[in-house]
Amino acid sequence: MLGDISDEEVNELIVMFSNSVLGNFLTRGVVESKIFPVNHYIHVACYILYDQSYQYNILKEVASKISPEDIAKRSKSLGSRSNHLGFYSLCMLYLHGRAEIIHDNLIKKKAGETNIVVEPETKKKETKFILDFWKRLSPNYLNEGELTLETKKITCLSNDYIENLKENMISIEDNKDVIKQLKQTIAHLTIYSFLSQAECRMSISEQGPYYFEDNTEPLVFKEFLDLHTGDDMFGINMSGNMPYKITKIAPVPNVIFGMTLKDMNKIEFNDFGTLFADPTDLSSNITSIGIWTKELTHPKDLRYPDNLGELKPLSLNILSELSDFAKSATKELYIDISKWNFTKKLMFGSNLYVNRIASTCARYAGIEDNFNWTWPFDYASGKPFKTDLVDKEKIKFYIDKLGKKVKTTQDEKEAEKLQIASLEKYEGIHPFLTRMFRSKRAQKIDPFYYYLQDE
Amino acid sequence: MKKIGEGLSCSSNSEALGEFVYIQSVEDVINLFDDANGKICIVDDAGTTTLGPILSDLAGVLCQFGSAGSHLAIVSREFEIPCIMSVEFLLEDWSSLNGKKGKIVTESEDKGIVYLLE
Repeated sequence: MLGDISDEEVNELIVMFSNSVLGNFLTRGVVESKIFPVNHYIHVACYILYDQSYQYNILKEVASKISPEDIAKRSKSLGSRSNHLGFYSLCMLYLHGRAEIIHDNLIKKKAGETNIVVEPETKKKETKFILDFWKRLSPNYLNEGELTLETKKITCLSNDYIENLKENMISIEDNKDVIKQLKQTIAHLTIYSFLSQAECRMSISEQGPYYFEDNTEPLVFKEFLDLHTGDDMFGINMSGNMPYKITKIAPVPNVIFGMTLKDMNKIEFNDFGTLFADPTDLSSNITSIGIWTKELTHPKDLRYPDNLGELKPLSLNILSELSDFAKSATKELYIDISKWNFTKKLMFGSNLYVNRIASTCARYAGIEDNFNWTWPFDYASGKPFKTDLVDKEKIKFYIDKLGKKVKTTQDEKEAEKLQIASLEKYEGIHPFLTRMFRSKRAQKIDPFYYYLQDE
Repeated sequence: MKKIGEGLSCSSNSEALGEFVYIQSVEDVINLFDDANGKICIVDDAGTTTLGPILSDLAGVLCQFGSAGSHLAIVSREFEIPCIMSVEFLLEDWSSLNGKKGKIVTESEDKGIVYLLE
């Protein structure tokens, strides 16, 4: 039964995941944006996922219809909305929310508040369920069978799947015009994707390296998973509830670029699906490209070997169409978003973190209609909620609480104080993040994402 | 020509001439929607979205923070736009550069220099 794992195993998973997240976070800075309150909306979303049992309640129903193993196996395709980044985030965002609450409770307890239970038994049960669900995903998705990327590869496709793509590859070695057009199309799509997803990279995915049987050049893929073609968000029809409208729609709902590369010194991926390459600018190393879009079918529609819709090859002509779309849609969206108030921007971002992974899992289970997914936008516009899974007053509490600047408390260790000081300039940061910067010795006895808490 | 700053050059394209604009708000970007050609924009955050709609039209980009791995640097490189990250200016008031002509030059493999054309 899912969630039936021991305290010892949970604590081991927490230590392992804490170390993995720290390693990944320390390769990137805090995200700043003039447009979205990025840090603020992430931390609000994490509170909702854990404190309101939002993720647990949805995944519990999902698990009654489909196993996490099956979700993972059926996601092994190009252009899938469920991938290693999604699986990793499912655990990371939940544990982030758990750490926020545990940190809050420990502070209250230290301040002398009575009747504080730092981690109630019901919450421990939920945490066991989430960790058990998560640990069955990536090992069944990644070819290497890993939970986190020890080998720095993101490969989930079979050799046969890769070989079938070979006939769609177009040689462009030394064709500077096409390479320039490809680079610029990817740049326009990148800007559009970040803007349309509140600076979050969940709709941009990279994977590889793969190899064709008769070619030693590595093959990597870059996928743009959510291009605007109508009132659809994460596969859910949002008619009447989309937070924005774009008049120029994309020629395809998603696009996947495959590139074979010569003379590469390094191709490595992290758990956030980011490619680290040497040389960094790999445009002069591209020898051939393939471009595909994936038919949008419901995950329960069992047709193609991956059960998720057929890949359709596209010609090079699609590059200019995609560039035109992305450039125009970016300007349109930018003007629209610049008129939004703080709450709408915040809830637009929080929506991605609370609903994207949960709704994708619900679609696999065929139960997406059992839930209301528009409550973040209802909150932003002051409409009544059509869900009882989320408490409106608590959302307001989180937003207000995180709106206050991070403050150093008297008894923090010196190292922590220094990092708190450096975090003070950022809005919306939860103080538990300062735990990232403790010494290795401190991390060893007290992991970033807190052991299960005994009273 | 007077040197006014230097930082990490993050683009394969080594030189740009243009008019400085210090971007402090979303409105500053919207005002450049039809007038971004030939501008060298100065920004203080390294995300891609702030300059997103005009980035491909710019002559160059200067950013106070970040590195070659920042989103802004990556996308600037894809557009082949000269981009210097972690710029340290030799003057305090960046907004005084608004409307003045400048030049970005890559001096060594990863060192970029910012000049004011007088």
